[in-house]
Amino acid sequence: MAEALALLILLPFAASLLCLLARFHRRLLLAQVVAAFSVAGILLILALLFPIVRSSAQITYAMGGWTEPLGITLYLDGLAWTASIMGTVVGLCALLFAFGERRYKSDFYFFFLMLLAGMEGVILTGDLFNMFVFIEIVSISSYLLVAYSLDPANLWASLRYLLLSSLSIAVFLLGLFLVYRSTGTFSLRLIQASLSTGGGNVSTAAAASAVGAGKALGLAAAALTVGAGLKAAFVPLHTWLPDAHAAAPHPVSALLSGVMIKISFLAVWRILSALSANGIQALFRWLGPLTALLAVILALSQTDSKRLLAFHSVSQMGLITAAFGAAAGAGSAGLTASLAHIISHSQFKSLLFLSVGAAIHMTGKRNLQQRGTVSPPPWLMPFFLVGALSISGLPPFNGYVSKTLIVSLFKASPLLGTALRLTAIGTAASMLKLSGMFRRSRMEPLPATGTAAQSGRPDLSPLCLIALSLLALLCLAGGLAPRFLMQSLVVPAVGTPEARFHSVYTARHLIESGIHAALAVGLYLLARTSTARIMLRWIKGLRLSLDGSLLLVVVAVVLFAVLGIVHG
Amino acid sequence: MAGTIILLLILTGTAGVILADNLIKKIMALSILNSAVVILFVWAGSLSGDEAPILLAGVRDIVDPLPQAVMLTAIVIGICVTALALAFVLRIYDSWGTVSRRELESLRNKNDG
Repeated sequence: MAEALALLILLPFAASLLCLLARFHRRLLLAQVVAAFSVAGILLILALLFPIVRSSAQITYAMGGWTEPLGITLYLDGLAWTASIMGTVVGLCALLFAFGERRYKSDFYFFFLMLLAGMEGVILTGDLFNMFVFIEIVSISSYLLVAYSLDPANLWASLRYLLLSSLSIAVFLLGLFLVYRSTGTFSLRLIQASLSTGGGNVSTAAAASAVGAGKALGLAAAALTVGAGLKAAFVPLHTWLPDAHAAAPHPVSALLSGVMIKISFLAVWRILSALSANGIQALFRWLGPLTALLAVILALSQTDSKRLLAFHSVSQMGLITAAFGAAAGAGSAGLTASLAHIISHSQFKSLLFLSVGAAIHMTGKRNLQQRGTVSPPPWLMPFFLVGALSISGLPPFNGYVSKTLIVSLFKASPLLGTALRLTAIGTAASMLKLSGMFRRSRMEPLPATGTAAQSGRPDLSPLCLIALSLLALLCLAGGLAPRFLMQSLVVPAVGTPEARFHSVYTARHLIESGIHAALAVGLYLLARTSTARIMLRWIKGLRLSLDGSLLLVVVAVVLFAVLGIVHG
Repeated sequence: MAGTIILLLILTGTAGVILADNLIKKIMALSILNSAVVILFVWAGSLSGDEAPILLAGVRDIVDPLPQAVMLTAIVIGICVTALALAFVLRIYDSWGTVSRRELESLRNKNDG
């Protein structure tokens, strides 16, 4: 059974190679069939492994029979299982949408499956150096997918992402060096074990060296957090995301925003819990709300539909990291809320990207200010609405459940709680702005006799519809049956049996979300006034240069390093 | 001594990535940074023993083989990323005729209107 772990990574790898072969023989159908079967295969394996994970047992597999500390070991615990199933479900929907769009050649599926294989690897591996390799596989395939259209603007967006990401990876390697020097191993489990036994030294010399090693490990934790965290896109490492995610093809935006940034964040999660770097974890309690609020203000000022959504990915990562940071004090409740929001966000954000993508595909316009003569069909609106209500944290969708869990973590802190509430209001207001895309444009003649074909609108394949419906159903299910989902997905993953789930459908929370919605409408109307428009245009014009973004990475290293050393 | 040189290489690479305006210079600076980290690993690894890690009879006090082994992988990945970045720059130069970061960003801002 343990061999199945290697298969989770090898299956998409092998399938991606077949897709590459299909590219040279121009067999697109073969590539599509292989891609679909490999993703279905991963889902099947994960389903078979579920009973073991449910009983909170860990499955380990030593690659090639070499055990730690020399070899690489794969681990499947609850967290890895939940992350894999989340990624694969979104991957399947993005794949179906890509089939339906009929724009991609076999090489697209090659990179797509490489990305999936890399993400499986990042979350399954128990070895830090191996994690570096898989992070690079994820990076390289995502650079290529972002630049897939070969449009120079998209290439430039991808190149900026590449430079930032490569700089952060160099920092990650430095962190690896520090870890290896202090512990002599790359294995996360052995590092954790050596830390928990190393505390009992009594002789002063040993204690002094333990303090030195502690500082080195604090520095290492800082470097690894920045290295793996750049792709998790919290402030100040968020600068690459809006451009890259807006430049990518629609299914890729869904996969990058829905899954990749969270897998990178889970890598940070693993690293920080193995190195028990509480100081850095606690910093996220402040960085998270800051990220959430800053990104939502920027999102509100955007006029490009996909850039607007991309800024919301940053903002939602802020909520996720805030809950993770709060866990440094609040324990399992914070982790539960963080993971719950990771799962909800993966579903509603990919739904939003795909439904906006479908609208762009059919109308050819992506700018919210541009007046088109073709408007998307009315049946596209409900899919968008499900996603929009979810991200705004309104019942009965999954976003309501996880957002309520996060906000209630910050009861004791009025400042941070207010930041999170403002974020929720801003999110809903910018979704109102985005919904303009789906409304009928005033310039379009009423469809008296015209059908879709006559109005010159490209058709949407049923496969795209299946993908959208699946994601919408998941959003609804997460909102209607939160207890079931939390008990089966989130609680085993966090790994603390005492983690209980309290119902979020209380009168207080419901009234609060109603007030948020009303305030959001007010904010939306306020943002349409001429003064606010000038302000928003000014905010939109504030763009950080590439050099500034690169400098921010170094600033982040210094910031985390100071914290890591002080608490180390 | 070796430590100082490596530190200087790391600082050179980082400064180059941030300060250079030419994209090709930025990529070369990244390469320098990457190489510096590789040299750091290999240098620190070489201090752990005296003999090559080939376990024949009488070989004792071997160098820790793991840092060298993992750095091979890091070198390969570094080269791939550098090649990919240069290919992107070439494509950008073909369509926009510049490799200057400043000019490319002003072009983009003009396109956005």
